[in-house]
Amino acid sequence: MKETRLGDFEEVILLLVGILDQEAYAFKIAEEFESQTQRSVSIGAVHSTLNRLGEKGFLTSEMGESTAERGGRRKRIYSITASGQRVLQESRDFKVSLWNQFPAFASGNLKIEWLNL
Amino acid sequence: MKRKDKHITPPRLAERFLLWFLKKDLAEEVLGDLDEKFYSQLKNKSPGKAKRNYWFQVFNYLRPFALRAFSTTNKNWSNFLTMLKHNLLISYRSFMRFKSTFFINLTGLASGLACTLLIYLWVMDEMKIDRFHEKGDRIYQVLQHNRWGSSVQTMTNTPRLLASSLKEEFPEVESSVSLNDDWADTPGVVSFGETKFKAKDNQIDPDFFKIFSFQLLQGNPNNPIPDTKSVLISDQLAARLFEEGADVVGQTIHWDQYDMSGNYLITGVFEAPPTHSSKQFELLFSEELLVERNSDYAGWESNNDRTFLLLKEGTDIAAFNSKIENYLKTKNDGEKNTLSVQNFGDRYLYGTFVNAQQAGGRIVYVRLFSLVALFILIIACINFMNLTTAKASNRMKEIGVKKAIGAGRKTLASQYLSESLLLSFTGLLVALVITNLFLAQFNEITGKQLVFTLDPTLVIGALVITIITGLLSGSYPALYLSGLHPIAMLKGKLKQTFGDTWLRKGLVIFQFAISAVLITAVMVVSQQIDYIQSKNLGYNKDNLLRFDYVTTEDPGFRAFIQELKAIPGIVNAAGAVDDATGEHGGTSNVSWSGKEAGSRTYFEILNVGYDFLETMNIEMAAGRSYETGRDIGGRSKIIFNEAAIKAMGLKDPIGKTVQIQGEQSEVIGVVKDFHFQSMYKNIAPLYIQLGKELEYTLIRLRPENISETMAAIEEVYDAHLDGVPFDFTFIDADYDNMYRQEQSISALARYFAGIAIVISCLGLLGLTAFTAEKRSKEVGIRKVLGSGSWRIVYLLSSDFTRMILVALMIGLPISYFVAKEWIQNFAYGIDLGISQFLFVAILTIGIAWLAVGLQTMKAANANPVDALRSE
Repeated sequence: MKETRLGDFEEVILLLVGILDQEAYAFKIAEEFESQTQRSVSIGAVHSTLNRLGEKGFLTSEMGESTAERGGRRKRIYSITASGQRVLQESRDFKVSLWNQFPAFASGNLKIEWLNL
Repeated sequence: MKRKDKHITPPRLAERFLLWFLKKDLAEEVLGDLDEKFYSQLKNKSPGKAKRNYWFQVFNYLRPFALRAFSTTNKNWSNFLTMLKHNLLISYRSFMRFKSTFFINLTGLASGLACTLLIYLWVMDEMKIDRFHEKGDRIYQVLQHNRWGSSVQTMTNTPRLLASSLKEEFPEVESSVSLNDDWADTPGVVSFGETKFKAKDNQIDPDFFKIFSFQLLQGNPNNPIPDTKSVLISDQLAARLFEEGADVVGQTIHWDQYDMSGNYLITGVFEAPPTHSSKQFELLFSEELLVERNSDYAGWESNNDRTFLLLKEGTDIAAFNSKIENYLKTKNDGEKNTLSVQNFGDRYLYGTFVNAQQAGGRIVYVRLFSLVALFILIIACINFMNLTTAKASNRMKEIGVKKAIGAGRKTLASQYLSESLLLSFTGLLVALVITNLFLAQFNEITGKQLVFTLDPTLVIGALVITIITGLLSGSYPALYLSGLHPIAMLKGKLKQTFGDTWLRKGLVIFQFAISAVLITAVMVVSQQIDYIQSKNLGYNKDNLLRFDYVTTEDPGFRAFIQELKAIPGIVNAAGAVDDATGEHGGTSNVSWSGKEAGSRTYFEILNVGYDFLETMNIEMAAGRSYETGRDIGGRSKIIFNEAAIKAMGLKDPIGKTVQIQGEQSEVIGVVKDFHFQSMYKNIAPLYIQLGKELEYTLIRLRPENISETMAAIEEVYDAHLDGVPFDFTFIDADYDNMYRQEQSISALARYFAGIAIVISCLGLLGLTAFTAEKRSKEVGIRKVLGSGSWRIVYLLSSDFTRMILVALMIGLPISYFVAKEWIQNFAYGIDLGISQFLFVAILTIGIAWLAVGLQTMKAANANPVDALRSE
């Protein structure tokens, strides 16, 4: 059976694919990642993750149109599958449930403590 | 769509590389993405940056999902693998066939690489000393250039007031600190309850932790030592004195050391100085404590502190130096001493000054050893190349056959290159093993704690050296032999070209010239050290025992000395503060009748107890020594050395009075000059005074029954100083310690010279074997025609002898100049004569003959029929 768990980086990439919609191809996703997280990433790393997500069944892809910046080459556009959406949902629900179990976070005291520091 | 930077394109090579490894069906999208990335980079970055980023992106596609299958179904790949396997097999067979060559090559290369690795570790370690301070580029130490007579002596001692007044008067100085380093030489005893330890101390100003990157773990960073009753201790000392988890700050400890003794409150804890710090201390007291206990320390006349400045960013050091050069004159009329600053990080390696100018220091040794490492490596590589190329011509038939069957030049070249690379990498592996094995011993010689870690520079350096050696030595057979005509090779009709032999001879000459230089170095250094150790010092350093007795109480110490003297195995015993193997304080505040105005002769000071001169066997030139009961401690009665009397120009000095730091002192005696400093220095003017409080005890033992005497001493010691560990040293060992650096260098030089000559000889041995084999027919014919064995030996070795003579003619003059330069560092050096160099020459030739002798004898004694019958 294929591994179907979602890693941290994978989750971010998956979300970015959703955000970018029709513009979700490796270069754009890498750019978006850098601007959203302020961390640098190589296109190869993103591509490799996209590939893995595709193997897990969370993404599908098809070749899109070409532009002049790409020297007339086409791009591969990714989109989230139903199982991809489900796994994102599960991941969020799990974290929210964890947050709710943590009293300091739940009561909102922590923020004040931070300010006092 | 037109773009104005259309001419700038992604690097073609990177693209080709990408296409080479990338899966075919990914090519379109990946190339498109990378192009887009590249052009988006171009918008706000330089083309160079964009290209570098492109390469970066390409390398990041080296991931399993993107790689195309390099399977064995790929024809080129499988062919390559088969050939590689074949080449390795052939290499292995040829190693086995020429076992001695293989062995010589491997030993030579491995030991050369191992030497280089060890020296590299040592050099890297030396470079790290005192370089860990964050503000290191702005920390400067003030040096005082002291002029007496015609010579200039540079010292680090400066007046206590200098640090604060430089900071006040010069805007370039951000902050300053004075330390009292020399006290750190003599440890004191720290005690808490029943626990007692010897520890090293230092005295500091408040800004100490702001300038240096020593870490204050607990305590007030602005003023860690608030008063003279406070002390900071290191975390290591705290761990030894107190139980784990105990609150250290606020505890009171007792400290015993000369006039610094007393109870102190711990106000902070600092992290023990790292190994790469030249300053080591476990307790830090306030600098004010010194002034409080020792009123002399306050004035401009006293030079007992080290001054460190933190200069502001962008300070012009040359300009600052010229500003402070004559600063002392503004404080002291007629002051001739000048000041300058030197970067603190540079002090360790560039510490030597001649005529107030920076002139070498440890960096000389660092450079010297780097050079030695380089030479040894070159010698090893030369050997490797020489032997490989010489042997390669033996394999002409093999090449000929291969070419005749149709092997291409590329295939042959790659075979030879892979063979020599294989050998050089085996050499590297053996070298790594050797380095690890000998690291402990190397550490012992050098007194360091080196660890072999694979840092990136080392790994890359070693790989590059190995690959270069492998490629260079493999290139001759690979490129030259593979290009020859196969038929000529099969017939064996090739003559060695003129350039070829000359290259080989030149390399041998070079090797032996270097070996001769190294042998000379070993000889000169060890002769100089022997000379120092056997020189008449003016005192007798044998059977002199010393241990620390820190006391402020006179009657107790007197009783202690009396009890010691009662032991039959003891000739004499005395207390003292200063000794003849360490640093001393000094002053120029001495005046006498007839002193020229403006003369500022600097006097070293030796603080001693009664019977010190007698115990040391220092002879009196005139007058008398100190006598118990007649003389009291202090400066009221002093003894000069002959050098001082000469410098002062006093006639008939006994009974005259001189003024020292404002006090009247009667001259009661003059001692004959003795060496109280290292041999690098001339015997300086010195006065001896009777110390009030003593730091250590000196005992002259009878040479017989030393162990019994030692037991008796320890009994007396324990009765008086219960709880303080009985640590003693012998003065002759202390004296040798002064030259530890020279000794470790001499030991290292001996090893390295040994290795260099061994490697050179291995090479020579290999070459002789090769020549003897090449000329075996000639030798056979000569023998048949009636030539004697000795004639043949002469024939075969005269060539090599000539080469070695040329090597000596090159090497010896070089070694003469280098040796002379080094000897000049010493005020008392050996003479360099013809005989030493003659010895080196004979030794080198002798060793070389030994190496070739066996081979030539074998060739000369062989039955000529064996040589002639073959073919």
